[in-house]
Amino acid sequence: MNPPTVLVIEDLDSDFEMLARRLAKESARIGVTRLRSHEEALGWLASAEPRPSLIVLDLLLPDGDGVEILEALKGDTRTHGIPLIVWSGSVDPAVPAACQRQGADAFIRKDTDGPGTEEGFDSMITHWVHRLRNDYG
Amino acid sequence: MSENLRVPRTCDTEAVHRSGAIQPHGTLLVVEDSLTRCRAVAANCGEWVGMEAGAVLGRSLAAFDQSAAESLLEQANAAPGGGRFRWTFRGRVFDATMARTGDGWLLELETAEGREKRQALPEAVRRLVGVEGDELFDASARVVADLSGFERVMVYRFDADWHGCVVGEHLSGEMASYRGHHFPAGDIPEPARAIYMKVPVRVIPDVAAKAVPILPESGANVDLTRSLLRSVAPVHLEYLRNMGVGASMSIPLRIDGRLWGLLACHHRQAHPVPPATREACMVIGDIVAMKIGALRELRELSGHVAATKIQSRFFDVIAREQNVFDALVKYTPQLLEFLKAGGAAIHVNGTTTLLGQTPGEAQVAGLLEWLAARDVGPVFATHELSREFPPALDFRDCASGLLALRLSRVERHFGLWFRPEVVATVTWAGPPYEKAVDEDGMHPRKSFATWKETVTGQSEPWTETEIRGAQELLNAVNALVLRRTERLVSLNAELERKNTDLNSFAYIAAHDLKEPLRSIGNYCTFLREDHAGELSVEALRKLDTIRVLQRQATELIHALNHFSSIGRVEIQRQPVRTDGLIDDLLHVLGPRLTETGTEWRRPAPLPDVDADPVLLREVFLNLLTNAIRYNDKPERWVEIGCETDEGTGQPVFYVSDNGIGIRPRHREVVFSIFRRLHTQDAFGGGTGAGLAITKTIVEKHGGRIWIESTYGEGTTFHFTLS
Repeated sequence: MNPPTVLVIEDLDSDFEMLARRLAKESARIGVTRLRSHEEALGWLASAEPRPSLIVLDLLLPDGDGVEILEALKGDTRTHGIPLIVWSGSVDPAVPAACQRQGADAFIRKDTDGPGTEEGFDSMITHWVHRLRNDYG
Repeated sequence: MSENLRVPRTCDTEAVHRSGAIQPHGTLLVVEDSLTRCRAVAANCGEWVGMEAGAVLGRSLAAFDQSAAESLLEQANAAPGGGRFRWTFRGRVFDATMARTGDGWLLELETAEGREKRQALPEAVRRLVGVEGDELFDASARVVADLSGFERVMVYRFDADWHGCVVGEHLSGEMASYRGHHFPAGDIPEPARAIYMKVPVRVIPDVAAKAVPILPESGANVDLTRSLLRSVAPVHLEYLRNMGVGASMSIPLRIDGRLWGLLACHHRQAHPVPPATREACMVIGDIVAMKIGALRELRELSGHVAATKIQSRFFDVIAREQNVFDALVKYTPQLLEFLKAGGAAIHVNGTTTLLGQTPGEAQVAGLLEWLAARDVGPVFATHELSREFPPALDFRDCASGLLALRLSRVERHFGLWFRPEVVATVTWAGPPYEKAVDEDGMHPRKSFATWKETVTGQSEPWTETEIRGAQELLNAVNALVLRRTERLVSLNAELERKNTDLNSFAYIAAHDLKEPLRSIGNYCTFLREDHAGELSVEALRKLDTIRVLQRQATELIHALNHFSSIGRVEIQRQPVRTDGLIDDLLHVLGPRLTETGTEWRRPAPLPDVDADPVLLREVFLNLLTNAIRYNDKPERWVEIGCETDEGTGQPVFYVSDNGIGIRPRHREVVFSIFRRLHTQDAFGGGTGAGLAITKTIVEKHGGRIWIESTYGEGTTFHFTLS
């Protein structure tokens, strides 16, 4: 069985690196692919590249709205079944609900509001990585 | 017409222009338009033209004197409106005057003697050239006296109510003076004044002379308005006799289509006035009228300049004031001076400001009530307020005169200027209110002896200039209000734009600033993870400090974003169970209360309210959090409750603590965004946005929030929701 791969759609380097470190902490076997923009994401969706086990999506991309990518991913039969986490800095209380309506499996706030959030973030990653492990062995 | 003819009961309707008779110092022929036939003739024509009336009536003048008739025709063609000329008829020379009457002509013949008087005219005119101001009145009276030989010449001026006053006089012989005397309007009734607007002179050379009837009897129907010789109404003759006058001449002074006054000449005996003399006096009358008119125009002009000055000075004052009406109040002392008023009241937005000598507040309120109900024009001026508003008698000492400006067409805004009562003595020529009416009709008054009247309840009248100045002031106020309104509209637009800017800023702060801040935090984490071994304890401590500061900055941005979104949000009112809301909060705050050992008090159930539940929850959360946080006592408590405002009956919530208190000078500042009175670390942090947000929420509900506190002992926040 192929090792699990995570597709990260994220323009900000430090955020990507933070996520990549969390994933590496969980398992060195997890492969991470990164896309930096709306355009790259839609290009990837149109291509025949292997499908990842988990998608992490940032909403605020330099060239467009992540919600459109979410719609595209959830509207495409090839990606529609892949678990998807929205990872966003948005504080608008309406955004998580909107994402969930579009089919997102989870919403994680990027911001560290105080002590304990990093741990919360980690546990969320752990939760998904464990699911990946269960799914892929 | 006989002397015992019944005269109409009132002078004002007397048909003075159809007297049916002439005075005997000349004769009258009424000829048809074509000048071919004599339609009517005065009974005395025999004395003048040498042919009895019966011989002339119905005949053409040409039948008696062909060339005289032709010269008459020429005259009529040359001056279609009528005129005066020298006329020879059957060898006799006359001073003739032709005037239109209906479809015919009045041909009046007088003596041609006395023409040499005309020589005196140029000199008389020269005497008036350099005379200015009120001196003109006496000077013109003297000139007319010299020209005409009348013993008393008066310049008689009509007031607005048509009563008259002698403003200039020249006397000779034993004539009594009427200088400064007033005459009631009835002395020169309306029909007489109407005739004065049409004829340039009226001469009665002999009050005792018997009137000559016009033949045939239907001659009574001849319109004698433009006749020089028209007989005198018996009531007027009686009037003159009562006054001791034997002859009179009146020259109307007409200015801008209104009868300004008269040059009135009296003689004790009969006094013939040759046509040439009469003519010369008429010229003087024209000159005097022109000079008075020019003088008046000059006064109006300077009045206008003064009024404009008021306006421009007011504009200067207003330029330094935010509010037009405040400026008006400020400018009032200057206005008092300009308007020669003793006091003023400015009533704007339900508040009355009194300055100087004014009626009491309640009296001014009553006056305003009356003005508003009466719907007076924009400018209302009276120098006898109690005549129109009887309650004003109570304060006539300070406000017999009122100049009122309605400052707004919509709101009840008034500017009132008061003038004190001036108890004046008016000198009348005889008791002015005496009316002698018997079964024969009305008789003129008998006495012209000086009669003093004390006039109360009146102030100095407002002049045209003052009223115009007030009008200009009103124009200025209106213009400024309009300008302010326009500026307000543009300010609103600007404010809206600035709000958009602020929202954009909040958006940028929330999103764009957060990313780099988050990156700083991330790199702190990476540094620690990758290089912890290489860093000294001191370096690691500094790294942690960066991390803490990064978190604080992030929190501030969150708070700013939240504050700005609260400012933008529309409140959604609904019934809120306040006790339930507090119960929920207690659940959230429970651990904090326990941790800090704070006693919780709620002495009575809280009333339900209409409010936005989410926002109200935030208000209570912020206040309770602060109450728990800012406390250094060993035994702490927090109390929440509600009182009722005695004035409005509205609930007033409060959150009380026995904490550190707030100094009086900080009681407003604490509501400013990001104003913490303590260091970030003291009392467990906080962004400093909480109270700013709380205040915004309370005010969005139409409520108010305020602080009671004793420094060091505790604080109570009170707030209302409507």
